Amino acid sequence: MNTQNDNNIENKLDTLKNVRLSVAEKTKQRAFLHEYAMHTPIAHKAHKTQNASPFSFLGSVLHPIPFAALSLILFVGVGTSYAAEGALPGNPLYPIKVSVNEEIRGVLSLGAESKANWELARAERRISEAAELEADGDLTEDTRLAIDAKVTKHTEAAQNFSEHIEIDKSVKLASIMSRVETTLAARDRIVLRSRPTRNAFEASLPSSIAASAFGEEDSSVALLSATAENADSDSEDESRVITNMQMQALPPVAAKNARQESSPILEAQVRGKLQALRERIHLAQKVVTRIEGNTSDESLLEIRELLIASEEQLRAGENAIAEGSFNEATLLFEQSLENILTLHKTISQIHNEMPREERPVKVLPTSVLPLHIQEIEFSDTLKSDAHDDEQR
Amino acid sequence: MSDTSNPTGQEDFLAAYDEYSDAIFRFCLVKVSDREKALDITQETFTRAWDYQRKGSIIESWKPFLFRTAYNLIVDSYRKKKSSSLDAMEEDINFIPPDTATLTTEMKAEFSRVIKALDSLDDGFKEPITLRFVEGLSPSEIGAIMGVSENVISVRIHRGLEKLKVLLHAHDV
Repeated sequence: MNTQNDNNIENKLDTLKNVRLSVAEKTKQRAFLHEYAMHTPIAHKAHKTQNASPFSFLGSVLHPIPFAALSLILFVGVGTSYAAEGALPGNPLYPIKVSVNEEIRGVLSLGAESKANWELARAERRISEAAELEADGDLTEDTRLAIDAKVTKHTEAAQNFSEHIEIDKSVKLASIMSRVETTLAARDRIVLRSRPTRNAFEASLPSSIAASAFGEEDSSVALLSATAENADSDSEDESRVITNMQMQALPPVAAKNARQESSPILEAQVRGKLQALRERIHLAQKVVTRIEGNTSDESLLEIRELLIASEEQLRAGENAIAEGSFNEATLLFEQSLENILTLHKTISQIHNEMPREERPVKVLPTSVLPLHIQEIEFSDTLKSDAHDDEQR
Repeated sequence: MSDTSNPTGQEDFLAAYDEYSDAIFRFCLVKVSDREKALDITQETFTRAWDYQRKGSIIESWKPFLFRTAYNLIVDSYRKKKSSSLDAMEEDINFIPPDTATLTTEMKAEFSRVIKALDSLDDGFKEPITLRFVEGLSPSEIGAIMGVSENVISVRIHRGLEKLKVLLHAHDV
């Protein structure tokens, strides 16, 4: 009797499993977290999974590996295939990652839902690669176009697979479709962001014409045009360079689609970017404080100006969010991130020019390192220096 | 999931979100009785998990890690104040998510009764029961999350169920 009662209560508690996030809530949160993770990357050396075998997923697969897939693995070599997992476009091992490892994994995904998710994961991989290449300054136009085509191909494949998901899994279908939307939005911002959205002629148009050409509602376009107009007329080339740089930082979605100003996904992405930026500025502040006593006044002034500019853009972006101008906030945060990147490069340059024994912190050459690696070097140095101080 | 190979770590992270966000959200909602707050804590839980990895640590098993993080955040949040009553929560149309639209009226009533009874329990019983019977965690996993022994959890689950029986019976009457 008692056991029956217990089972009864357990069944009642089971009804609570119906409580879950709505699809809209999940989409927004995922967009926020995706953006946050994208802009605060894990340092490769600290991330264990980079060295995980690409075949580790086989452990969870119950059916035998298809003969063709196994032949491919053996032909390519497990070691090569394993090493290829960290490859980026342009690396000789990259085709193995994309055409062998990922294809095999796709073959082994069972069911429409699993296949759709894997296609989306592949699209997200391409976007992450674009972000990494861009951080290194290696994202060429050809690579960008190739990645864009692959993202489109994978998201379309995911949509095709999702059409075969059973009707009783409508929640999962909705989740996949919202993930498709988020992935495409991320593609627009990250992969396509370096595509100039207007040519030099258009960029030099007065704000009134630009606004009518691109939509009055898009405050970010007006902001860009105003910046160009305010520049000294004697330094036309310089102002054009500034404008083009800003245009490159402006996501095409922001420039072209003013309707997204009110999109909940865009808002979530902007907030994710804001949180990431706060983290990066905080770290930069610590680095600047650490090097103050060992750097010339002139260099320190340059570094501080970059930091102040970045902080001001952060605050302006926060104000833009408060006013609901998410496109403008995106632009400001992108500029702030650019300043932080320049700040780190400047610090590295200064220290590389100093005699080794006079260097207050140990940094690797920045020209070959993405920003997140530099940050780890700085933070590691801070930790080790603190340890040395304690020892003394 | 932790051994999935991906250079940036984002795949694992987003896959963990896809897999556990509903469970974490449910746990938070039952505990704080405020949908907006539960949403915030869920997001913060995942943000902290990413920060933890980003700073060089490794998450071997996502599920206990996320529940433990959410639990700590809830404790912090609870120290401040439990902001809204269960009645207010029930009045909020969003509390019952759209996915339950397919539930019958009877099932919805049952759902509401269980939530009310669970909310009447002391926190020491509510958490182990939710984690055990809704999320399917073992007593040792719950103990690790709450920072107490497996035995203590087993006792709380047993006593909590007894109390819950009485409460549900009282509601029935």
